[in-house]
Amino acid sequence: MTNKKSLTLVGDGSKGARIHDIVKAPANTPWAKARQQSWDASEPATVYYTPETMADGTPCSAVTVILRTKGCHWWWSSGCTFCGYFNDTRDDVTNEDLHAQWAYAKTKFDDFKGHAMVKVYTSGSLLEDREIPVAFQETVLRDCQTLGKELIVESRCEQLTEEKLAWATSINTSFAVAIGLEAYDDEVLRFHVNKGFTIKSWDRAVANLKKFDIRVKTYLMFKPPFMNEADALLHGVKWIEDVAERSDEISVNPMNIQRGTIIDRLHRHNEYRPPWLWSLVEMIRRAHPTIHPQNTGNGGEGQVSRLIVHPTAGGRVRGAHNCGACDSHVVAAIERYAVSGELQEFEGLACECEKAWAEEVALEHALPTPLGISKPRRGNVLDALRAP
Amino acid sequence: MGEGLGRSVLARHRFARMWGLGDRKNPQAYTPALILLEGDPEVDATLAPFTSTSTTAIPSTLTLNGRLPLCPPNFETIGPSYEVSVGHVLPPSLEEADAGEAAGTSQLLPVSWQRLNHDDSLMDPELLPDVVVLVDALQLAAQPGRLVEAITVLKRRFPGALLWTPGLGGPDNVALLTWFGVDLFDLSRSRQAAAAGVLLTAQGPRHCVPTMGEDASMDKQVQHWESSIAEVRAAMVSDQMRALVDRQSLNSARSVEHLRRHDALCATVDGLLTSHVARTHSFPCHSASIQTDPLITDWEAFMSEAYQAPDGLDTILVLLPCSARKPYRLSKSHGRFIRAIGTSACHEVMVTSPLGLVPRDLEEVWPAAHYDVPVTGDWTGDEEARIVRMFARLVDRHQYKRIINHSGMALEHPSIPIVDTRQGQGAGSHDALERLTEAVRAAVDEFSARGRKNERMLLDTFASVARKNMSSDEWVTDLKVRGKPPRYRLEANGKQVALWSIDRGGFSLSKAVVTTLADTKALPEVHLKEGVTWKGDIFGAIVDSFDPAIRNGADLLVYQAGKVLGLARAHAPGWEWPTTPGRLAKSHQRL
Repeated sequence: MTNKKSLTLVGDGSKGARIHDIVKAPANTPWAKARQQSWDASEPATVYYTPETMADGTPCSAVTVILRTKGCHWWWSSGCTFCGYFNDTRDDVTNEDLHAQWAYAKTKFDDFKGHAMVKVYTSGSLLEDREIPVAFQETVLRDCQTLGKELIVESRCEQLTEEKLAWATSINTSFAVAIGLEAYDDEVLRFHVNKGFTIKSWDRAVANLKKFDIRVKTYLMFKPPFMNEADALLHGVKWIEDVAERSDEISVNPMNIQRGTIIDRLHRHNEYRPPWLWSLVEMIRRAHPTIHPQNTGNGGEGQVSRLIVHPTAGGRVRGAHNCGACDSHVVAAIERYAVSGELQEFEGLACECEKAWAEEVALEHALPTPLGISKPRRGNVLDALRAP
Repeated sequence: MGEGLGRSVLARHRFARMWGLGDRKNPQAYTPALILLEGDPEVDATLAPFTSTSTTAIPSTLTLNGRLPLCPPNFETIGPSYEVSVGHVLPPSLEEADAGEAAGTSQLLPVSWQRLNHDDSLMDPELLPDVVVLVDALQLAAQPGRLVEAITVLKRRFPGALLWTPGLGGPDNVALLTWFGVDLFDLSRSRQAAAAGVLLTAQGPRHCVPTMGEDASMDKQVQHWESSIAEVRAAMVSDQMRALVDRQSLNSARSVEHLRRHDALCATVDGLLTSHVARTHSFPCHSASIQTDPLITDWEAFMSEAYQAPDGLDTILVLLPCSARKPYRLSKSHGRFIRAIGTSACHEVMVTSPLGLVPRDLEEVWPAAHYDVPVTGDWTGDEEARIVRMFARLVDRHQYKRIINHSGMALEHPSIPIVDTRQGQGAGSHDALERLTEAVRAAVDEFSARGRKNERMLLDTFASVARKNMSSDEWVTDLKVRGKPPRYRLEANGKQVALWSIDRGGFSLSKAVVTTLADTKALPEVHLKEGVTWKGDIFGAIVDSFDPAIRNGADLLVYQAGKVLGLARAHAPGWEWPTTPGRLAKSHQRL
């Protein structure tokens, strides 16, 4: 059978590595190390502005500042399966560097004049003292308070203690915290995402945030690794329903392939395909009654939360995509929905590939194929259907 | 746990089997068979004897239900019914990682590449599932060699189980997958084809032809399944699976790749091939891919490493072309060659494809007496390379002093003179035959080679066959040959010990020779459990140990408590022993 002294049917019987070890491996490759050291720590990774919507529904402009940091403390010890942020960090960033980056962003956008909102992303948690010096946390909180900007910061759950939030709100009275929950399911958090916290942590963090009247933005992941399209759709809708009442905003991130991640490895081995855009449309359709029970759209009466889906690399093979013919229309409709909250955005959308998507989802529900049956969606249809 | 699945093998060829499901005396359904999923069209239960569902939980729970009364012992109620957790599954490329949470274990056994790598509970000898499900078969198919490795490992570990590779099979690869050992299939690829408006046929996916009234409906897709499954079952019964698989593999590049890798893998598997076949069995070698068939590899390995020319016959080697008719000597062309040679003092060896070299003394055995190859007069690179390799090994391992080459293929040897009797002419041409006669006569005179009497020739042939198909020829040495061709009797001290059976190209051994065969360890051994009474045929339940290299059709020595009891003839190759339900060997002689 096998020619080794094996206790298993295949392989040498050696103990299996943990997901954790697999996640970390790419970050230690020479190319990743070299890339990390190539960054200028005194400049942020990127600063840009986009149209946004204020908490009260008013359209506005938001500056996004992505800082070059030491990364996420969870990454230091383990890491999420899909996370490629290690590509943008370096481990010797100092308090002075961060202040220099912040100054760069403020200077570039003239103290954010004309922009009502500032989003500060750190490839980790802004309020985590091990990642971000407290002095810099204070600078960001205070500057935005002083400048009168609506601030959004990212954080994992474990930092959002009453003590920390009391401190933060003593400096800035109006900010929102975006939490990368990814899935409201402990099995998925553990196995598919390797998130390092449970839904209880999120429940506790959200309760604390509510206590201090801090707005909650919840990120959910659509189609994490090791999950098929059908499960992603079914459970994605359920997670939205689970968190809607307690989230001011729900941002669903369809999986895209970031370099050096596990998902990149799977994608290269034809073991993972990013979600269909049709799945995102279907997810929105199914979740819409939960978000807008009275079907009034964003800002309308009875709105429970705001659902945002932004397909990063949408329409590309490394992002959520369809057959190639309809992608731009579907991506545009999904993005329009994020603004309007109206299902009419999807009216008239149709493509031959929708049938293939629907059949794939139906089959994945029926088959014992947890990794899915997805085929290439582009190119010659006969070639895609040939015997695998 | 379900009530169990009644099943018995009705036809087999290497890893391919046609199972009868239910009562073995009156099977309710046969494999290859379909498993129906939610959303599938209605298909008759005799073709689709199972349904399957999966829950939406993460991880999901899989159920498999019989649609016919398939459960022993009474076969009265519909069943079986299985349920098991699929568990978390990591993709095959992450083989070094372990999800740390194995799938469930029951008579329905879900496995993945990760589980094969990391779950030692699969080695539990008590684990005897009825149905194995390879849940990441689709992902494995995308990794070089992994699919066939996983399937082969599963077949050898669980020979008594049916195998399902969900999402992988279609009318265009059902024969290929059956060849690998997959028994159960689903309509998922046909449903995907229907959704794309395409027909999935036995020749692969294609657009519908409206002028033929075709459409891509599931009714039409199922018709293609029925037709493909019928082809497989027919080929199983007529032993023509390899030819069907060769044809079907051309449907996709992946299928060709899987078949080649499977061939290479099987060449390393003992107890897979057949040792004897019926006289009527043919071995079509019409495609180029036959060059990689394990049977060919096996023949080359035997000829290169184990074959010994009859004693004293390795002075003059005469290389001859093959003939369409088998055995060669019955062909007109070989009649002329034999007359031209005019002596039994030479070792005649045929140059051929795909077997490379076939000595006259083995021309009646499998596969030499059964292959059929198209003759173009040209050799491919693979064919030529094999012949050159085998020729070099044959000459190295014998003491030839002269080589007379009437084969037409240019062959060289650094130290032994080779006489080319063809000189560009046809093998049957008058001049070439004259040169053959002259070359033989000259060599016989030069080396004083002596012809053999007819009985000596026959004994040499029988000894050679014994060396090929048994572990020893010692039992043949002092026998006398009696009777008229082709039904020769082999006798010792006036007592018949064996008959030459032209029906199976081998010996039919008598009771009188059993002890001698045991003393000379001439046959693979099967040891029965102590305490059981050997009444009928040999079933797994009474087997204590066995030679894993048993080939289908081989004669076996049956022992119990160290004492030889008799002979049996293998109905299943070694890989299927001992847990395949049904008869493994048929009793043949009892002391």
